[in-house]
Amino acid sequence: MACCTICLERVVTVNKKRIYPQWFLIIPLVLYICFFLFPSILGVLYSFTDWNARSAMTGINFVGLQNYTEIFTSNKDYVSGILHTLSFTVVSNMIKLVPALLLAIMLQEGLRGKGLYRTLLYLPSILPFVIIGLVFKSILNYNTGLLNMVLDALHLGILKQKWLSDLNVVWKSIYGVDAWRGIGYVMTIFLAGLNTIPKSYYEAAQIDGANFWQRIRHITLPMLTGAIMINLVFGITYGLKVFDIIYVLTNGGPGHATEVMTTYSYQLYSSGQYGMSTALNTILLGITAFIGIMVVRVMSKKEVQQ
Amino acid sequence: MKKNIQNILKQLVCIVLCLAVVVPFYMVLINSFKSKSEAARMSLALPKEWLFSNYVEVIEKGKLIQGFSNSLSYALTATIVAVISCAMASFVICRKPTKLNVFIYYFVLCGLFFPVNYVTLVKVLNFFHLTDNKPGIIIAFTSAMIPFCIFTIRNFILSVPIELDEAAVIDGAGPIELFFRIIVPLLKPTLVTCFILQFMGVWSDFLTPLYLSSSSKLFPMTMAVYQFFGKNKSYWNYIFADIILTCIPVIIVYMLGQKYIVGGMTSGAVKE
Amino acid sequence: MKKKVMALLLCTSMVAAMLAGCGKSPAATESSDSEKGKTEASNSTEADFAGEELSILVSAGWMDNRYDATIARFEDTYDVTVDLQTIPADQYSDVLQSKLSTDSCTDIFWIQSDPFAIASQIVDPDKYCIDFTGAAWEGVIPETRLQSCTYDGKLYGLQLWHNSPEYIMVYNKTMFEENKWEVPATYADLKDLCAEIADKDITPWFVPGADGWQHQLSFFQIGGVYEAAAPGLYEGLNDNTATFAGNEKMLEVLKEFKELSDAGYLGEDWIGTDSTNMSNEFGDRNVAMAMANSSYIKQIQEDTGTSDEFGLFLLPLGDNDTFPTNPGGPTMFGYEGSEHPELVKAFFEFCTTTESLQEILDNSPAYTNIDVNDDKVVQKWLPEEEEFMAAIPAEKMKTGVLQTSTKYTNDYWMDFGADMIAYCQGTMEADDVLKNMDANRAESAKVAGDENWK
Repeated sequence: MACCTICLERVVTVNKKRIYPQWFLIIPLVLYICFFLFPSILGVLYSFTDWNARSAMTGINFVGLQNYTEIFTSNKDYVSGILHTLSFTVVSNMIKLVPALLLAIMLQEGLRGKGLYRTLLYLPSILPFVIIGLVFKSILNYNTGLLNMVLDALHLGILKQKWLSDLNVVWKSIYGVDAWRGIGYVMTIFLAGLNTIPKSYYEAAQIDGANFWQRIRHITLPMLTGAIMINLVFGITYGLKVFDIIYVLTNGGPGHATEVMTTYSYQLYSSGQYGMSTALNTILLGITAFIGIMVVRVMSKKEVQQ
Repeated sequence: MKKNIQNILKQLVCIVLCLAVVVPFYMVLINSFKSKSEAARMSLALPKEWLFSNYVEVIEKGKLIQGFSNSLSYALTATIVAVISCAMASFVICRKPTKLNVFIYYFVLCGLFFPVNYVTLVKVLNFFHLTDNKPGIIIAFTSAMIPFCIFTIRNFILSVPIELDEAAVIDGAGPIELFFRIIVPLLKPTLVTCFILQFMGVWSDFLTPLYLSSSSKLFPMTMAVYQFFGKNKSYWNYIFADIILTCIPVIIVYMLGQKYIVGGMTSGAVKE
Repeated sequence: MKKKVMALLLCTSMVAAMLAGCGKSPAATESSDSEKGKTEASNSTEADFAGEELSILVSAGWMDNRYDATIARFEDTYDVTVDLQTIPADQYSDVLQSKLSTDSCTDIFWIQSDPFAIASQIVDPDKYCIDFTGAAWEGVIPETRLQSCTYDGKLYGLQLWHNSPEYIMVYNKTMFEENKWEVPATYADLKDLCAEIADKDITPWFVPGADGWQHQLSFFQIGGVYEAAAPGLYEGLNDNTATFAGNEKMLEVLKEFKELSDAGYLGEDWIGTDSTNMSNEFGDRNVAMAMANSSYIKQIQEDTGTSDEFGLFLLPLGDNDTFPTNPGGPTMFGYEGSEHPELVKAFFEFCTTTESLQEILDNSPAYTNIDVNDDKVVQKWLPEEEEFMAAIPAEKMKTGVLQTSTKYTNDYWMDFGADMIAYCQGTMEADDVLKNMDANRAESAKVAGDENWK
């Protein structure tokens, strides 16, 4: 890549302004600033106010960092919520990214029926969360659920679990359902990445006698940096902001065993403490943005090195 | 021989995985033909009596035709505008990495992390007189997907060789021509992927139209399902039938798009 | 070739969609403009609503299809259209708050009201609600429900809800008779009965814990028994001189509930089970009892076609013998900022005519009566309900349920439910469950600026 940039600079520098016009940026930038960033930042500003259910009467007043200090000194267990969020992010990404990559590679090669497989594997990500919750609550039911019935039929009764109420199992069930839903999505992005790798690279490698793993290590992975970065950033953002899948499966339960930051913020919001809820979200935003930008920087450096 | 065994193994893996995916879907599909209480069992058994009328009922009661045309216009317009305009922007950001453009890239990237705040969004759209109409909803959708699109597309443009630009420029192509005739065809897999993922995102998002409109005429197809949920009494058969109908357009888009993803990159076009 | 056709199709549909997207909206705004004009005109003449549109915002489950016929008749009578917007239940209050705070609410909106709800949910009824004081239909609302519709002496809401016993024990009478099981009156009886039922491999008491909002009913619906054990408790809870924490009767009830849970009487995995399949479980005779509305009997019979008979009894936790009176229910309000307030008033009047009330009741398969002061409405009480209610002395029907008769309690319904499950799983102490409720209520009181919590 680096060598290309050099050629480019040599030949086209003069024309750069002409062939890469800055006005190409205008539409997305204007839309983004006016209708996404501006309202979102306005929203974040609420975290410094006493905005609550009563504000219609009393107006919204600036209170500085009061909401933040309250979160860190509160007797509620926000810390465990933060820890759950972090561990969800790590685990859910590991169990989605690795299999999805292998699947994508497998489905990229000439496999009979690959088109059908791709479509099928993508299907789960289009189901609304409410329905995923409904269907999986039924499948995971202890007495009447499909999963336990199948286990019984296979004489694997020992493996039967109270999937959604046993404190030691409930997270695993959530990871399972989350992977069920998410793998196809991740895979689609990997597939797009794999498709940009010129076949000639592989042909050349084959001639050099490289085996499957060598090809993966020296061609696929390096050429896939972009797709991996996209998936990592989306995965991390998704993981840190995770809400729906937990909301529909356990709603933070049993008890408070699966509470994450967003479920706490949801509870604050629904009890009318909007300012506090926004503050909690803003903390989450800070963490997400920090990790996300770090990933992008590290990965971009890798890109440059190639 | 070894190849054969490998192939069989691969097929096995795929089939098992697909089964895991298909069973819940089959559950939704088969139960959409049952009676209300039969559907509540969510069993895999065939219906005692096939009630195709569930679908007719759902289309009528859920005003699905109106919802469908709303959803389609939101998803298509917003996604097309976003994907094309973001592809143009990413192209410039990527090919001309000036300080300003690098800053813009990171600046837009931040949008990936911000949560949407509907209250303030409504206030801003109100200011532009964009609430309660389709353009407002479409603009809100388009704006929200810009960070995603720019980030995704930029990362794939990196792999489009720059020599092509040179060749085109030497042939006397202008920026628009260069972009649409040379770059877009090469980016097809990426653009289509982006389109598919974002189309699905808009299709399943019912919150944005819900907050931005005060008339059910603007509600998307996905809202309809909630009419069949009740606190004490839910019509599971209708819920499932509705879900099947709502999913079909996304599946079609994926299947159509997939052809482009696969066939998009021609190995011959790139010489290294 | 195929590809080209597809591409062509896709393009055509895109163009069509875009035209639809862009083309329709100017027309739409135009028509709303002309509507505005009309409204102004009609306001001056005060009668003709023709062509106007009345919008209603409601949560899923509050209107169901009960108002469909009435609304259709309203549309015909006044030559208007009604735009009914049914919002997912868990989004409803957020959506409503957003619409109120951005001054873009529908002409009519609903809330789940109780005597404190207008203050806590609408906050500023003067600003948001049409004042109906003196409306002819005021007399239709029974005295007990009026407190959920008025605030500061002004009438704002219209509550048309049923008065069936809510969330009491429904049991399979036929099964009980066959096995010579007796209806329990005390907790000790209940426990013995559950043991007998469980011996037959039947779930004694079906509790759908995964729903998250049902199991705590068994704690709150018997509010009368807490008040009876410590008279003045409700008042104390409302002026912050009493707490949940340390309340012995409440601790007793929680302990009893956990005892049943530990013994497996609530279902082997009640915490992971939701109510989707509940009526089938009854129909299949897998279940003997559950907490439900009296009308649920009808639903079981309709859903499953069972020939079993069902009966009702009072929840015996804490040896309860009081009837769960609940003055709350979904209530509709007129939006002060509406463009056609006269039409809103006409709708409220229209709904409260005898004809409409009867129609609403007739179209509510899940309800057997409608609680209104109108003798001409023919109620459809079930014999089971009449029998059950006749057996309860009037003085046991006076205390309201805990959640809507004490301030700020209902706001933490889900939290309390989660804590209760944590207690049943042994990760929390009973008194901490109650302490959390106190802490949460104090939080709400602070937000509300309640004098008693300062």
